[in-house]
Amino acid sequence: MKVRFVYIAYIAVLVVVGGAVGGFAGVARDADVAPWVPIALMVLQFLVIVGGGLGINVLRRWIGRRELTSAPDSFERQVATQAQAKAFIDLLILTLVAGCLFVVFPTQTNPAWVLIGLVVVLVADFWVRYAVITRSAAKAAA
Amino acid sequence: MRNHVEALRRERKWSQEALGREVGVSRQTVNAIEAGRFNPSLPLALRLARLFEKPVEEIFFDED
Repeated sequence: MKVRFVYIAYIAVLVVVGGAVGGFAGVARDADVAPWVPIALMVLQFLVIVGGGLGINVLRRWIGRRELTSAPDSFERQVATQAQAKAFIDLLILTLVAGCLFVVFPTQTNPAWVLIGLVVVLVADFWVRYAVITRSAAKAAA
Repeated sequence: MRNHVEALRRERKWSQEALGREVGVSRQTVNAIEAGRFNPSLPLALRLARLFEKPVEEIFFDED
């Protein structure tokens, strides 16, 4: 099975499970339910978020071992290190930008959203850099 | 750094994936080495030399 499909299947399952739990939580909030139900749904939501995050990491490691992309001498490992190094520089710049946001708009800036935005941008930054380097290498080889 | 990895691999009728499995790296790593986009580490170069039964300097050489 192609690695891409494994990731897509995993994310699809996670979205369905997360959506179901979120949907139940929404219904339970407005309905007259037993007092333990909201707590159980909160625990379930926590498990879906933490389990989903840990699961994707386990999946990534498993694929890396199977496809030999995580081998110490592999090209992918070197590309990942390069992408991480460049993403770190981006992190420093983005942190500076976020700091400026807090100074200029102290009341309108929500720290939680800024933090979530930083994480999302950095993860995307890493994967875009990784994809660009590996694709340009593949094109050069073709 | 250039190399004769592709020629040696083709002589033996191996795929990039098969060669990668033999030396413990991915198909894309073999591809990148053959294209000259990636210089292998010394342990990997030694594993390739051992597999092809040739000295390292016969497989990898300077562009000059």
